[in-house]
Amino acid sequence: MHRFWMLFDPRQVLTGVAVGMFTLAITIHFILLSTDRYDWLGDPNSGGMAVSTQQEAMPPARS
Amino acid sequence: MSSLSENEAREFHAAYIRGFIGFVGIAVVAHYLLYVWKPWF
Repeated sequence: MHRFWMLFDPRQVLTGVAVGMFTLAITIHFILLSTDRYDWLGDPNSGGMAVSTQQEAMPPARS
Repeated sequence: MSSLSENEAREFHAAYIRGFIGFVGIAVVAHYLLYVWKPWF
């Protein structure tokens, strides 16, 4: 097995593996972020206090 | 063709396999934690 490194330059293989792994990792992370189930950051606009979608009546105007 | 001698290739191969095992180990732990959090099947 170690003869592989006599055929292929370790520098090029290491660079290729690093670039490939990084591309794969960033792709998978973005895919997960785009899902509802595995989005670990959550919707920044839905967190905290519940926001009412109903519009409430305005207070009576002061005369 | 690289310019490595057989001994150098053997030495590099040992380090490469160590790194590979470490990477796979971290990946297995990460997948285990993710599966505990939210199993996907």
